[in-house]
Amino acid sequence: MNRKNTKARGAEEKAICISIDTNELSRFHPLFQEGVAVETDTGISVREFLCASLGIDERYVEERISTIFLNGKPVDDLDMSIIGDGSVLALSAAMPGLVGATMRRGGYYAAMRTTITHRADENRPALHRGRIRLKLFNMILDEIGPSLLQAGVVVRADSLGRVLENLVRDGLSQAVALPERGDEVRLIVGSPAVTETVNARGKIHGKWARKK
Amino acid sequence: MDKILRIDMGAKGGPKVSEGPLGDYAGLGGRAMTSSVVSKEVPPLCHALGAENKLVIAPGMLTGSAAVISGRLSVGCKSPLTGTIKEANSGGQGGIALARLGYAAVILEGKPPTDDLYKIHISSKGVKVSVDNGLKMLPNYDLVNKMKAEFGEKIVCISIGPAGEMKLGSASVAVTDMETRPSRHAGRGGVGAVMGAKGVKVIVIDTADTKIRQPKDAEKFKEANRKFTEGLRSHAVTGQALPKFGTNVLTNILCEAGGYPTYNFKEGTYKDGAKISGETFAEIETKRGGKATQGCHTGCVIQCSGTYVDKDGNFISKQPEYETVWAHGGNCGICDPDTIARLDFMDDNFGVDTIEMGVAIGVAMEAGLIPFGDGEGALKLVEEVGKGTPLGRILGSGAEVTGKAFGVERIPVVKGQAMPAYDPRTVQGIGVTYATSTMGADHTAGYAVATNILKVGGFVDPLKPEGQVELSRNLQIATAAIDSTGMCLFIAFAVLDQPETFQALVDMINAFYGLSLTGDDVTALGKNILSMERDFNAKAGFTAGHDRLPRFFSTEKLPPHNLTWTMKDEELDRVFNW
Repeated sequence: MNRKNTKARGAEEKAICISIDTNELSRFHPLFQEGVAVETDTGISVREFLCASLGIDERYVEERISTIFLNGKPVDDLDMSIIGDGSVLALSAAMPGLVGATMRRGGYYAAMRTTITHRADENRPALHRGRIRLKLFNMILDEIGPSLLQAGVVVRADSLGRVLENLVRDGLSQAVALPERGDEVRLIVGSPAVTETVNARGKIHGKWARKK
Repeated sequence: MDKILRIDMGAKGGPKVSEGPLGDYAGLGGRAMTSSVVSKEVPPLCHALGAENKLVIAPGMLTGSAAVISGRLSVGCKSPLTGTIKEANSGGQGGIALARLGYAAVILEGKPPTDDLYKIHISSKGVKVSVDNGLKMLPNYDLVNKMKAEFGEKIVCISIGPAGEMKLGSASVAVTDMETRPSRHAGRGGVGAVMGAKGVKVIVIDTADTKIRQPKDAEKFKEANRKFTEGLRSHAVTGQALPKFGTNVLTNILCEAGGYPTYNFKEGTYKDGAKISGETFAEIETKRGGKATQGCHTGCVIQCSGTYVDKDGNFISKQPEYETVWAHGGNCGICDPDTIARLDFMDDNFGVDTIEMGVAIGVAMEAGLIPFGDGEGALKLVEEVGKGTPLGRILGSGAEVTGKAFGVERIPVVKGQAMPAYDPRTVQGIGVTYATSTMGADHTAGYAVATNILKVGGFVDPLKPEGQVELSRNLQIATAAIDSTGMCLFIAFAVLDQPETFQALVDMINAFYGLSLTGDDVTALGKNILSMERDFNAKAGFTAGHDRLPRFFSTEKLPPHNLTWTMKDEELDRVFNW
């Protein structure tokens, strides 16, 4: 691939590493529902992003992530839908109801939403580094969220603040100094073992927030 | 289910009870029963609140048997909200209790000459109708507690709240759940107002000495039921998403698709959708010690409901459904789960349809009565409905009446019934169903099994331009048939994807009744029901001109996709051509 390397936006965000019991990872789910920023090559297909960039198993993509939105439009063709810098990609499992069935990728009822269906991108833009906003819903939250948290995502400081406020209130974390509202932070969350490793590598520049 | 119970509330000398054989209605259940009785016995031009209207309460064909998830109860009449024929159905224990006492239908007829309020007690020993004016204006929860004190814990209640007594257009019929809470409702179309017009506050069913209904072929039935259960449990929607997050799992999806009506149908995405999503509700319920996974009636294997409690663990309401969270939440710009749960409880307690109530409040917000996002204001408005103040009566009469009273142009109704939680400008196909349904704007009318499995009306290529009409027609046919079985419509997802699960359902019906139905028979049943309903509506004065969406859908673009409703009238007029 002819990839053009450009400096990703937000490379200087403050980084925060939080160690927490894995049973409490769902505390961070609101961040994924609102969307987290992920740095990636852009100009690649949705399938390439999911399988190559995120490392999700192809079978899981085919069978489990049955509902996908790119910039608010339901995707039917993973290979002909191209993500660009600033794209919003939302991933969901199969959903209930007629409308749930309608939104499914390549589903029988896809004809009922033809006016909003994501059309195939005939012309691929050039490859370059960029950032997309990734949203995870329902079953996908539990199944993909933890590994993304472990790898690190970029989130809005005020959104993270709300999550941390609840963690502190419930005695699961110490208070963490966050940047101003509207700024973004790089967040890494995992079990104590994972975050110790990350910290030892010197990737973390922000304050620690340990489980009490 | 070999008998029909009729209670003439207007008989000379007081209510007259009679029981008779099924006659022409043999083999019918659920919507097939209610629509057959109404279309045959109710004059289409009668006033919905008058003596000529009838309220038909009918369990589904398989209700009361060991068939899983078959406990739906249909309530039918001429609707005071829409003026059309109406079938609203509910979960809860009511259908099972009636079916196990042998009743294929309970029909309330006539109208009492006085304003006395009645309670009806049904047990294996017989039926007793008595005046109980002490029940007047009791909310549903208080009413059920009083009935438990009087008749014991082994009861099921089918009741109305103050809204039904006031004969408001949004009044529902409440049915108690497995915890004997009046949390399940036949919500749509004002069926509760018709029960109120009959002077009946509550039907109390004593479940002692009731027996499970037995199939004709026990072995085949057992095997089909096993396969059907397996199919539901193994499917991603019915086995995972619905149990874990409930129906409100749709909020994030609809917001993402730009099809989530927000601020009274002005926008298609709610910025705070994630705060009221099914994922968020489930998290709150689990954390606070409520329940995120619970059935609404015996034999439910999907368990899409739950219990919502406050921070101290006290019951607020059952887990609000997607449509409820939307109507009171995003549609009104309210993003506090606790407020939405309290509104849900108040709706259940006063006995109003959550969709109609939420949309009416959205219209009132548009009028400037209170601002969008004012949760406390919304709670006060519903309180007004419960008290029966003049403002409360306007709101409780539904979105259309509210819009007219306050001079609002954007009133999202079809045939007088508030539109549910999917904007037809984004999902044009569902707009076809909203426009043409025999019931007014109704999301469940197209919530059914796969037409490519049923081959309803022959194979349809959904990718052809005419596919929208064909799909809607076939979905409406299939839904009418499913509504007759007593099966929860949520079985549709497993049936949609797994032909063997659909076959297991057909096998189960055949084994139970000793029949040999095929997909064609299911189609014929659905068509017959719709034909009866369309015929009733035509005689009641409804024409093709009523099968339309409000004009603003064609003239106002919906962000973020900036689409308008583009389906042509002549296309809509083809829906029922068969």
